[in-house]
Amino acid sequence: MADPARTEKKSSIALIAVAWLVVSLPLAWGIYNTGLNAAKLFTHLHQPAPAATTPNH
Amino acid sequence: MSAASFLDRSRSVARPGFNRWLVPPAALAVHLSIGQAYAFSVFKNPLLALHGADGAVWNLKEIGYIFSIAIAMLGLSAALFGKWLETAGPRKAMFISACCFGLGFEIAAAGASTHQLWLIYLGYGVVGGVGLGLGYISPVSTLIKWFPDRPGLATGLAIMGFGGGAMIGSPLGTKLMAFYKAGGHPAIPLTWITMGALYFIFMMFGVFTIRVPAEGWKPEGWTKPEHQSALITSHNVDVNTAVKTPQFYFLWLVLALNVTAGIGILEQASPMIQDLFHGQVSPAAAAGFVGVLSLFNMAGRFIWASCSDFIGRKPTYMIFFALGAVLYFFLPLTGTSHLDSVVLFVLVAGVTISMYGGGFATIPAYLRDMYGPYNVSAIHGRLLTAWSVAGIAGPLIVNGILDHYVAQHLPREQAYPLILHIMSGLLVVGFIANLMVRPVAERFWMKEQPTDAVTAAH
Repeated sequence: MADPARTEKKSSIALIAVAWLVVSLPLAWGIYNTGLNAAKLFTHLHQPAPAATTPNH
Repeated sequence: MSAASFLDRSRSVARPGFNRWLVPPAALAVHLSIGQAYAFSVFKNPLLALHGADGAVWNLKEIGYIFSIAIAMLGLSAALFGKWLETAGPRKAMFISACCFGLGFEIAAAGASTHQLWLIYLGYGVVGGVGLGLGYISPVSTLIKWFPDRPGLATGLAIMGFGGGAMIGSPLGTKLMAFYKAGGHPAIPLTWITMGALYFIFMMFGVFTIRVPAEGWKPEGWTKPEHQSALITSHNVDVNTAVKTPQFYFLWLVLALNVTAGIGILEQASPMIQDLFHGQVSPAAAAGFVGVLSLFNMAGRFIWASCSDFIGRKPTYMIFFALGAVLYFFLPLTGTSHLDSVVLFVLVAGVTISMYGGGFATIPAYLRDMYGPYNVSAIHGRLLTAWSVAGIAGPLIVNGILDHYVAQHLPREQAYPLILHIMSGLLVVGFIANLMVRPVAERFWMKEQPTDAVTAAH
Protein backbone atom coordinates (compact mmCIF):
# COMPACT_ATOMS: atom_id res chain seq x y z
CA MET A 1 0.00 0.00 0.00
CA ALA A 2 1.29 3.46 -0.81
CA ASP A 3 2.48 5.61 2.08
CA PRO A 4 -0.15 8.36 2.58
CA ALA A 5 2.67 10.71 3.56
CA ARG A 6 4.06 10.37 0.06
CA THR A 7 2.00 12.94 -1.74
CA GLU A 8 1.60 12.68 -5.49
CA LYS A 9 3.78 15.15 -7.32
CA LYS A 10 4.13 14.69 -11.05
CA SER A 11 7.63 14.84 -12.46
CA SER A 12 7.99 17.99 -14.50
CA ILE A 13 8.35 17.75 -18.25
CA ALA A 14 11.35 20.12 -18.03
CA LEU A 15 13.10 17.73 -15.65
CA ILE A 16 12.51 14.80 -18.01
CA ALA A 17 13.76 16.86 -20.96
CA VAL A 18 16.92 17.88 -19.07
CA ALA A 19 17.58 14.26 -18.04
CA TRP A 20 17.33 13.12 -21.65
CA LEU A 21 19.51 16.02 -22.79
CA VAL A 22 22.23 15.07 -20.31
CA VAL A 23 22.60 11.65 -21.93
CA SER A 24 21.66 12.59 -25.49
CA LEU A 25 24.28 15.30 -25.95
CA PRO A 26 27.34 13.12 -25.36
CA LEU A 27 25.74 10.32 -27.36
CA ALA A 28 25.04 12.71 -30.25
CA TRP A 29 28.67 13.89 -30.10
CA GLY A 30 29.82 10.27 -30.24
CA ILE A 31 27.51 9.45 -33.16
CA TYR A 32 28.68 12.58 -34.99
CA ASN A 33 32.33 11.56 -34.61
CA THR A 34 31.56 8.00 -35.67
CA GLY A 35 29.59 9.35 -38.64
CA LEU A 36 32.59 11.43 -39.71
CA ASN A 37 34.73 8.31 -39.50
CA ALA A 38 32.13 6.21 -41.34
CA ALA A 39 32.01 8.77 -44.16
CA LYS A 40 35.61 7.87 -44.98
CA LEU A 41 34.34 4.54 -46.29
CA PHE A 42 32.67 6.38 -49.14
CA THR A 43 35.23 9.15 -49.65
CA HIS A 44 38.33 6.93 -49.58
CA LEU A 45 37.15 4.20 -51.92
CA HIS A 46 39.33 3.68 -54.98
CA GLN A 47 37.67 2.77 -58.23
CA PRO A 48 39.01 -0.54 -59.52
CA ALA A 49 41.46 -0.04 -62.34
CA PRO A 50 39.63 -0.44 -65.64
CA ALA A 51 40.58 -3.45 -67.68
CA ALA A 52 43.05 -2.67 -70.46
CA THR A 53 41.14 -2.12 -73.65
CA THR A 54 42.27 -1.37 -77.15
CA PRO A 55 40.76 1.65 -78.88
CA ASN A 56 37.95 0.47 -81.03
CA HIS A 57 36.92 3.13 -83.48
CA MET B 1 20.21 9.47 8.82
CA SER B 2 23.57 8.67 7.31
CA ALA B 3 24.53 9.70 3.80
CA ALA B 4 25.11 6.05 2.99
CA SER B 5 21.45 5.27 3.59
CA PHE B 6 20.69 7.38 0.52
CA LEU B 7 21.93 4.40 -1.44
CA ASP B 8 19.50 1.98 0.19
CA ARG B 9 16.82 0.47 -1.92
CA SER B 10 14.11 1.83 0.38
CA ARG B 11 15.36 5.39 -0.26
CA SER B 12 15.12 4.94 -4.02
CA VAL B 13 11.43 3.96 -4.13
CA ALA B 14 9.65 6.40 -6.45
CA ARG B 15 7.08 8.79 -5.09
CA PRO B 16 3.58 8.68 -6.61
CA GLY B 17 3.60 10.74 -9.80
CA PHE B 18 7.23 9.93 -10.65
CA ASN B 19 7.55 9.68 -14.41
CA ARG B 20 9.09 6.39 -15.52
CA TRP B 21 10.76 8.11 -18.51
CA LEU B 22 13.32 9.47 -16.05
CA VAL B 23 14.64 5.94 -15.54
CA PRO B 24 16.09 5.23 -19.02
CA PRO B 25 18.40 8.30 -18.85
CA ALA B 26 19.69 7.01 -15.49
CA ALA B 27 20.42 3.63 -17.06
CA LEU B 28 21.95 5.28 -20.13
CA ALA B 29 24.30 7.38 -17.98
CA VAL B 30 25.81 4.16 -16.67
CA HIS B 31 25.88 2.22 -19.93
CA LEU B 32 27.22 5.14 -21.98
CA SER B 33 30.10 5.32 -19.49
CA ILE B 34 31.03 1.67 -19.17
CA GLY B 35 30.69 1.20 -22.95
CA GLN B 36 34.03 3.02 -23.07
CA ALA B 37 35.61 -0.43 -22.59
CA TYR B 38 35.00 -1.19 -26.25
CA ALA B 39 37.06 1.87 -27.19
CA PHE B 40 40.13 0.74 -25.28
CA SER B 41 41.97 0.07 -28.54
CA VAL B 42 42.66 3.82 -28.91
CA PHE B 43 45.20 3.46 -26.07
CA LYS B 44 47.05 0.51 -27.60
CA ASN B 45 49.57 2.40 -29.73
CA PRO B 46 50.22 5.12 -27.10
CA LEU B 47 50.85 2.37 -24.52
CA LEU B 48 53.23 0.62 -26.90
CA ALA B 49 55.17 3.86 -27.23
CA LEU B 50 55.55 4.31 -23.44
CA HIS B 51 59.03 3.69 -22.03
CA GLY B 52 59.93 2.84 -18.46
CA ALA B 53 62.78 4.51 -16.58
CA ASP B 54 64.99 1.58 -17.62
CA GLY B 55 63.88 1.88 -21.26
CA ALA B 56 61.55 -1.15 -21.01
CA VAL B 57 58.56 -1.29 -23.34
CA TRP B 58 55.40 -3.39 -23.41
CA ASN B 59 54.38 -5.59 -26.32
CA LEU B 60 50.99 -5.88 -27.98
CA LYS B 61 50.17 -9.17 -26.29
CA GLU B 62 50.83 -7.74 -22.81
CA ILE B 63 48.68 -4.72 -23.59
CA GLY B 64 45.95 -6.94 -25.04
CA TYR B 65 45.52 -8.60 -21.63
CA ILE B 66 44.22 -5.31 -20.15
CA PHE B 67 41.00 -5.50 -22.17
CA SER B 68 40.74 -9.27 -21.77
CA ILE B 69 40.95 -9.01 -17.96
CA ALA B 70 38.33 -6.24 -17.94
CA ILE B 71 35.86 -8.31 -20.01
CA ALA B 72 36.54 -11.45 -17.98
CA MET B 73 35.88 -9.47 -14.78
CA LEU B 74 32.69 -8.09 -16.35
CA GLY B 75 31.31 -11.61 -16.80
CA LEU B 76 32.58 -12.79 -13.43
CA SER B 77 31.29 -9.87 -11.38
CA ALA B 78 27.92 -9.86 -13.18
CA ALA B 79 27.53 -13.54 -12.35
CA LEU B 80 28.75 -13.16 -8.74
CA PHE B 81 27.01 -9.95 -7.69
CA GLY B 82 23.73 -10.29 -9.58
CA LYS B 83 21.94 -11.85 -6.62
CA TRP B 84 23.30 -9.21 -4.23
CA LEU B 85 22.14 -6.48 -6.61
CA GLU B 86 18.55 -7.72 -6.42
CA THR B 87 18.51 -7.06 -2.66
CA ALA B 88 20.79 -4.03 -2.47
CA GLY B 89 18.93 -2.20 -5.23
CA PRO B 90 20.11 -0.46 -8.39
CA ARG B 91 21.25 2.78 -6.73
CA LYS B 92 23.82 1.13 -4.48
CA ALA B 93 24.98 -1.10 -7.34
CA MET B 94 25.35 1.88 -9.68
CA PHE B 95 27.26 3.81 -7.02
CA ILE B 96 29.72 0.96 -6.46
CA SER B 97 29.99 0.52 -10.22
CA ALA B 98 30.83 4.24 -10.61
CA CYS B 99 33.42 4.04 -7.82
CA CYS B 100 35.07 0.95 -9.31
CA PHE B 101 35.02 2.23 -12.89
CA GLY B 102 36.37 5.67 -11.93
CA LEU B 103 38.93 4.29 -9.47
CA GLY B 104 40.05 1.74 -12.06
CA PHE B 105 41.09 4.59 -14.36
CA GLU B 106 42.97 6.34 -11.53
CA ILE B 107 44.90 3.19 -10.54
CA ALA B 108 45.68 2.51 -14.21
CA ALA B 109 46.91 6.11 -14.55
CA ALA B 110 49.38 5.47 -11.72
CA GLY B 111 50.47 2.34 -13.55
CA ALA B 112 51.02 4.21 -16.82
CA SER B 113 52.84 7.01 -15.01
CA THR B 114 55.25 4.64 -13.26
CA HIS B 115 55.34 2.14 -16.14
CA GLN B 116 54.00 -0.73 -14.04
CA LEU B 117 51.73 -2.93 -16.12
CA TRP B 118 50.41 -4.89 -13.14
CA LEU B 119 48.87 -1.68 -11.82
CA ILE B 120 47.04 -1.20 -15.13
CA TYR B 121 45.85 -4.82 -15.00
CA LEU B 122 44.64 -4.24 -11.44
CA GLY B 123 43.11 -0.84 -12.15
CA TYR B 124 41.49 -0.92 -15.56
CA GLY B 125 41.23 -4.72 -15.67
CA VAL B 126 40.18 -5.94 -12.23
CA VAL B 127 38.72 -2.92 -10.40
CA GLY B 128 37.33 -1.31 -13.56
CA GLY B 129 36.05 -4.71 -14.72
CA VAL B 130 33.97 -5.10 -11.56
CA GLY B 131 32.53 -1.65 -12.34
CA LEU B 132 31.68 -2.89 -15.84
CA GLY B 133 29.88 -6.01 -14.62
CA LEU B 134 27.89 -4.28 -11.88
CA GLY B 135 27.06 -1.34 -14.12
CA TYR B 136 25.96 -3.56 -16.99
CA ILE B 137 23.33 -5.47 -15.01
CA SER B 138 22.35 -2.81 -12.45
CA PRO B 139 19.53 -1.08 -14.37
CA VAL B 140 18.13 -4.14 -16.14
CA SER B 141 15.57 -5.47 -13.66
CA THR B 142 14.57 -1.92 -12.63
CA LEU B 143 13.80 -1.03 -16.25
CA ILE B 144 11.82 -4.23 -16.72
CA LYS B 145 9.74 -3.41 -13.63
CA TRP B 146 9.08 0.15 -14.83
CA PHE B 147 8.17 -1.01 -18.34
CA PRO B 148 6.19 -4.25 -17.96
CA ASP B 149 4.37 -3.27 -21.15
CA ARG B 150 7.58 -2.72 -23.18
CA PRO B 151 10.50 -4.57 -21.54
CA GLY B 152 12.34 -4.97 -24.84
CA LEU B 153 12.23 -1.25 -25.56
CA ALA B 154 13.41 -0.38 -22.05
CA THR B 155 16.35 -2.76 -21.88
CA GLY B 156 17.15 -2.08 -25.53
CA LEU B 157 17.56 1.61 -24.68
CA ALA B 158 20.01 0.87 -21.88
CA ILE B 159 22.06 -1.72 -23.71
CA MET B 160 22.10 0.52 -26.77
CA GLY B 161 24.01 2.85 -24.45
CA PHE B 162 26.79 0.30 -24.10
CA GLY B 163 27.23 0.37 -27.88
CA GLY B 164 27.08 4.16 -27.85
CA GLY B 165 29.63 4.33 -25.06
CA ALA B 166 32.39 3.18 -27.38
CA MET B 167 31.47 5.99 -29.78
CA ILE B 168 31.97 8.52 -26.98
CA GLY B 169 34.99 6.85 -25.38
CA SER B 170 37.00 6.61 -28.58
CA PRO B 171 37.02 10.32 -29.61
CA LEU B 172 37.14 11.41 -25.95
CA GLY B 173 40.28 9.36 -25.32
CA THR B 174 41.90 10.47 -28.57
CA LYS B 175 41.13 14.16 -28.06
CA LEU B 176 42.24 14.19 -24.42
CA MET B 177 45.54 12.50 -25.29
CA ALA B 178 46.12 15.04 -28.09
CA PHE B 179 45.29 17.89 -25.70
CA TYR B 180 47.72 16.78 -22.97
CA LYS B 181 50.40 15.87 -25.48
CA ALA B 182 50.16 19.33 -27.07
CA GLY B 183 50.70 20.84 -23.61
CA GLY B 184 53.82 18.76 -23.10
CA HIS B 185 52.22 16.64 -20.35
CA PRO B 186 52.25 12.83 -19.99
CA ALA B 187 49.26 12.03 -22.20
CA ILE B 188 48.03 8.63 -20.99
CA PRO B 189 48.12 9.16 -17.20
CA LEU B 190 46.41 12.55 -17.39
CA THR B 191 43.86 11.29 -19.90
CA TRP B 192 42.94 8.40 -17.63
CA ILE B 193 42.78 10.63 -14.54
CA THR B 194 40.44 12.95 -16.43
CA MET B 195 38.32 10.14 -17.86
CA GLY B 196 38.01 8.46 -14.46
CA ALA B 197 36.71 11.70 -12.94
CA LEU B 198 34.38 12.50 -15.86
CA TYR B 199 32.87 9.04 -15.98
CA PHE B 200 32.40 8.99 -12.19
CA ILE B 201 30.49 12.27 -12.31
CA PHE B 202 28.41 11.13 -15.29
CA MET B 203 27.54 7.84 -13.62
CA MET B 204 26.55 9.69 -10.45
CA PHE B 205 23.83 11.34 -12.51
CA GLY B 206 22.44 7.84 -12.94
CA VAL B 207 22.83 7.12 -9.21
CA PHE B 208 20.83 10.22 -8.26
CA THR B 209 18.17 9.73 -10.94
CA ILE B 210 17.42 6.01 -10.65
CA ARG B 211 14.22 5.00 -8.83
CA VAL B 212 12.52 1.68 -8.26
CA PRO B 213 8.75 1.51 -8.61
CA ALA B 214 6.61 1.40 -5.46
CA GLU B 215 4.89 -1.81 -4.45
CA GLY B 216 1.96 -2.58 -6.71
CA TRP B 217 2.85 0.14 -9.22
CA LYS B 218 1.88 -0.38 -12.84
CA PRO B 219 1.72 1.96 -15.83
CA GLU B 220 -1.39 4.11 -15.91
CA GLY B 221 -4.20 2.39 -17.77
CA TRP B 222 -2.17 -0.77 -18.34
CA THR B 223 -3.47 -4.16 -17.39
CA LYS B 224 -1.66 -7.41 -17.78
CA PRO B 225 -2.88 -9.11 -20.98
CA GLU B 226 -5.15 -12.05 -20.22
CA HIS B 227 -3.93 -14.05 -23.17
CA GLN B 228 -0.24 -14.01 -23.86
CA SER B 229 2.34 -16.38 -25.27
CA ALA B 230 3.03 -19.49 -23.22
CA LEU B 231 6.65 -18.34 -23.22
CA ILE B 232 5.76 -15.31 -21.09
CA THR B 233 5.39 -16.52 -17.54
CA SER B 234 3.34 -14.90 -14.80
CA HIS B 235 5.47 -16.71 -12.22
CA ASN B 236 8.94 -16.13 -10.84
CA VAL B 237 11.98 -18.35 -10.73
CA ASP B 238 14.83 -17.79 -8.27
CA VAL B 239 18.30 -17.40 -9.82
CA ASN B 240 19.66 -20.52 -8.13
CA THR B 241 16.76 -22.53 -9.54
CA ALA B 242 16.93 -20.86 -12.94
CA VAL B 243 20.43 -22.19 -13.56
CA LYS B 244 19.08 -25.71 -13.03
CA THR B 245 16.57 -25.39 -15.87
CA PRO B 246 17.44 -26.57 -19.40
CA GLN B 247 16.11 -23.26 -20.74
CA PHE B 248 18.99 -21.42 -19.09
CA TYR B 249 21.53 -23.47 -21.04
CA PHE B 250 19.63 -23.13 -24.33
CA LEU B 251 19.54 -19.37 -23.82
CA TRP B 252 23.22 -19.42 -22.82
CA LEU B 253 23.95 -21.12 -26.18
CA VAL B 254 21.69 -18.66 -27.99
CA LEU B 255 23.68 -15.70 -26.63
CA ALA B 256 27.08 -17.35 -26.98
CA LEU B 257 26.57 -18.40 -30.62
CA ASN B 258 25.07 -15.09 -31.67
CA VAL B 259 27.98 -13.21 -30.09
CA THR B 260 30.63 -15.59 -31.50
CA ALA B 261 29.33 -15.07 -35.04
CA GLY B 262 29.21 -11.27 -34.61
CA ILE B 263 32.73 -11.15 -33.24
CA GLY B 264 33.80 -13.11 -36.33
CA ILE B 265 33.12 -9.99 -38.37
CA LEU B 266 33.92 -7.31 -35.79
CA GLU B 267 37.31 -8.81 -34.94
CA GLN B 268 38.51 -8.64 -38.55
CA ALA B 269 36.27 -5.93 -40.00
CA SER B 270 39.04 -3.65 -41.20
CA PRO B 271 41.43 -6.23 -42.71
CA MET B 272 38.52 -8.29 -44.07
CA ILE B 273 37.11 -5.53 -46.27
CA GLN B 274 40.59 -4.64 -47.49
CA ASP B 275 41.38 -8.26 -48.33
CA LEU B 276 38.06 -9.00 -50.03
CA PHE B 277 38.22 -5.79 -52.09
CA HIS B 278 41.93 -5.64 -52.70
CA GLY B 279 42.98 -2.31 -54.17
CA GLN B 280 39.52 -0.77 -53.83
CA VAL B 281 39.36 -0.13 -50.08
CA SER B 282 42.09 1.97 -48.46
CA PRO B 283 42.96 1.66 -44.74
CA ALA B 284 41.10 4.95 -44.11
CA ALA B 285 37.99 3.60 -45.87
CA ALA B 286 38.30 0.40 -43.85
CA ALA B 287 38.34 2.48 -40.65
CA GLY B 288 35.15 4.07 -41.96
CA PHE B 289 33.68 0.59 -42.38
CA VAL B 290 34.35 -0.07 -38.69
CA GLY B 291 32.47 3.15 -37.93
CA VAL B 292 29.52 2.04 -40.07
CA LEU B 293 29.41 -1.28 -38.20
CA SER B 294 29.39 0.59 -34.86
CA LEU B 295 26.34 2.54 -35.99
CA PHE B 296 24.54 -0.63 -37.10
CA ASN B 297 25.53 -2.32 -33.82
CA MET B 298 24.06 0.48 -31.73
CA ALA B 299 20.91 0.92 -33.81
CA GLY B 300 20.32 -2.84 -33.84
CA ARG B 301 20.29 -2.92 -30.06
CA PHE B 302 17.41 -0.50 -29.86
CA ILE B 303 15.46 -1.49 -32.98
CA TRP B 304 15.54 -5.29 -32.59
CA ALA B 305 14.85 -5.21 -28.83
CA SER B 306 11.90 -2.86 -29.40
CA CYS B 307 10.56 -5.06 -32.21
CA SER B 308 10.74 -8.07 -29.91
CA ASP B 309 7.96 -6.52 -27.80
CA PHE B 310 5.64 -6.97 -30.78
CA ILE B 311 6.84 -10.13 -32.50
CA GLY B 312 8.02 -11.99 -29.39
CA ARG B 313 11.48 -12.86 -28.12
CA LYS B 314 11.74 -16.35 -29.61
CA PRO B 315 10.72 -15.25 -33.14
CA THR B 316 13.20 -12.36 -32.90
CA TYR B 317 16.07 -14.79 -32.29
CA MET B 318 14.69 -17.05 -35.04
CA ILE B 319 15.17 -14.10 -37.40
CA PHE B 320 18.70 -13.48 -36.07
CA PHE B 321 19.72 -17.07 -36.63
CA ALA B 322 17.87 -17.83 -39.88
CA LEU B 323 18.59 -14.54 -41.62
CA GLY B 324 22.05 -14.39 -40.07
CA ALA B 325 23.00 -17.86 -41.33
CA VAL B 326 21.95 -16.90 -44.87
CA LEU B 327 23.72 -13.53 -44.78
CA TYR B 328 26.97 -14.95 -43.37
CA PHE B 329 26.94 -17.58 -46.10
CA PHE B 330 26.29 -14.92 -48.75
CA LEU B 331 28.79 -12.33 -47.46
CA PRO B 332 31.96 -13.70 -49.12
CA LEU B 333 30.11 -13.79 -52.46
CA THR B 334 30.00 -9.98 -52.47
CA GLY B 335 33.82 -9.84 -52.85
CA THR B 336 35.84 -9.07 -55.98
CA SER B 337 35.92 -12.69 -57.15
CA HIS B 338 32.10 -12.84 -57.37
CA LEU B 339 29.68 -9.90 -57.23
CA ASP B 340 32.39 -7.29 -56.55
CA SER B 341 30.07 -4.93 -54.67
CA VAL B 342 31.45 -2.97 -51.70
CA VAL B 343 28.02 -1.45 -51.07
CA LEU B 344 26.39 -4.88 -50.85
CA PHE B 345 29.17 -6.13 -48.57
CA VAL B 346 28.74 -3.17 -46.22
CA LEU B 347 24.97 -3.53 -46.20
CA VAL B 348 25.01 -7.27 -45.50
CA ALA B 349 27.71 -6.94 -42.82
CA GLY B 350 25.77 -4.04 -41.27
CA VAL B 351 22.56 -6.08 -40.98
CA THR B 352 24.44 -9.02 -39.43
CA ILE B 353 26.07 -6.71 -36.87
CA SER B 354 22.70 -5.11 -36.08
CA MET B 355 21.54 -8.63 -35.11
CA TYR B 356 24.68 -9.12 -33.01
CA GLY B 357 23.77 -5.98 -31.04
CA GLY B 358 20.10 -6.98 -31.04
CA GLY B 359 21.02 -10.29 -29.43
CA PHE B 360 22.62 -8.51 -26.48
CA ALA B 361 19.72 -6.11 -26.04
CA THR B 362 16.88 -8.63 -26.36
CA ILE B 363 18.21 -11.26 -23.96
CA PRO B 364 17.14 -9.51 -20.69
CA ALA B 365 13.53 -9.33 -21.89
CA TYR B 366 13.73 -12.98 -23.01
CA LEU B 367 14.88 -13.89 -19.48
CA ARG B 368 12.09 -11.86 -17.97
CA ASP B 369 9.58 -13.71 -20.16
CA MET B 370 10.96 -17.10 -19.13
CA TYR B 371 11.70 -16.55 -15.44
CA GLY B 372 9.63 -13.52 -14.36
CA PRO B 373 11.03 -10.20 -13.12
CA TYR B 374 11.99 -11.30 -9.58
CA ASN B 375 15.66 -12.25 -10.16
CA VAL B 376 16.10 -11.16 -13.77
CA SER B 377 19.28 -9.11 -13.16
CA ALA B 378 20.91 -11.98 -11.32
CA ILE B 379 19.96 -14.50 -14.03
CA HIS B 380 21.17 -12.05 -16.68
CA GLY B 381 24.45 -11.76 -14.81
CA ARG B 382 24.95 -15.53 -14.87
CA LEU B 383 24.06 -15.68 -18.56
CA LEU B 384 26.69 -13.06 -19.40
CA THR B 385 29.38 -15.73 -18.90
CA ALA B 386 28.32 -16.71 -22.45
CA TRP B 387 29.69 -13.35 -23.59
CA SER B 388 33.06 -14.03 -21.96
CA VAL B 389 33.26 -17.47 -23.63
CA ALA B 390 32.21 -16.07 -27.02
CA GLY B 391 34.75 -13.28 -26.63
CA ILE B 392 37.45 -15.93 -26.52
CA ALA B 393 35.93 -18.44 -29.00
CA GLY B 394 35.15 -15.95 -31.79
CA PRO B 395 38.66 -14.47 -32.16
CA LEU B 396 40.18 -17.97 -31.68
CA ILE B 397 38.26 -19.33 -34.68
CA VAL B 398 38.97 -16.31 -36.86
CA ASN B 399 42.64 -15.86 -35.99
CA GLY B 400 43.30 -19.62 -36.00
CA ILE B 401 42.06 -20.00 -39.57
CA LEU B 402 43.80 -16.82 -40.77
CA ASP B 403 47.09 -17.93 -39.16
CA HIS B 404 46.75 -21.32 -40.88
CA TYR B 405 46.29 -19.69 -44.30
CA VAL B 406 49.25 -17.37 -43.73
CA ALA B 407 51.41 -20.30 -42.57
CA GLN B 408 50.47 -22.24 -45.72
CA HIS B 409 51.30 -19.17 -47.87
CA LEU B 410 47.71 -19.02 -49.09
CA PRO B 411 45.99 -15.69 -49.88
CA ARG B 412 44.18 -14.35 -46.82
CA GLU B 413 41.05 -13.53 -48.83
CA GLN B 414 40.58 -17.26 -49.42
CA ALA B 415 40.22 -17.78 -45.64
CA TYR B 416 37.14 -15.56 -45.27
CA PRO B 417 34.61 -17.84 -47.02
CA LEU B 418 35.62 -20.65 -44.62
CA ILE B 419 35.44 -18.35 -41.57
CA LEU B 420 32.08 -16.92 -42.53
CA HIS B 421 30.63 -20.30 -43.44
CA ILE B 422 31.69 -21.64 -40.02
CA MET B 423 29.91 -18.67 -38.44
CA SER B 424 26.87 -19.46 -40.58
CA GLY B 425 26.97 -23.04 -39.25
CA LEU B 426 27.18 -21.77 -35.66
CA LEU B 427 24.07 -19.70 -36.28
CA VAL B 428 22.24 -22.83 -37.49
CA VAL B 429 23.15 -24.47 -34.15
CA GLY B 430 21.87 -21.32 -32.42
CA PHE B 431 18.62 -21.64 -34.37
CA ILE B 432 18.17 -25.18 -33.04
CA ALA B 433 19.00 -24.09 -29.46
CA ASN B 434 16.40 -21.33 -29.69
CA LEU B 435 13.90 -23.78 -31.12
CA MET B 436 14.40 -25.97 -28.03
CA VAL B 437 13.38 -23.16 -25.65
CA ARG B 438 10.08 -24.12 -24.02
CA PRO B 439 8.18 -22.62 -21.06
CA VAL B 440 9.82 -23.31 -17.69
CA ALA B 441 8.23 -26.29 -15.94
CA GLU B 442 5.96 -25.63 -12.97
CA ARG B 443 8.26 -27.47 -10.55
CA PHE B 444 10.82 -24.67 -10.92
CA TRP B 445 8.41 -21.86 -10.01
CA MET B 446 8.80 -20.12 -6.69
CA LYS B 447 6.34 -21.63 -4.24
CA GLU B 448 5.60 -18.35 -2.51
CA GLN B 449 4.84 -15.79 -5.17
CA PRO B 450 6.15 -12.39 -4.13
CA THR B 451 3.30 -9.90 -4.08
CA ASP B 452 5.57 -7.56 -5.94
CA ALA B 453 8.89 -8.15 -7.55
CA VAL B 454 10.31 -4.98 -6.00
CA THR B 455 9.60 -5.81 -2.40
CA ALA B 456 10.22 -9.50 -2.88
CA ALA B 457 13.89 -8.93 -3.14
CA HIS B 458 14.15 -7.60 0.42
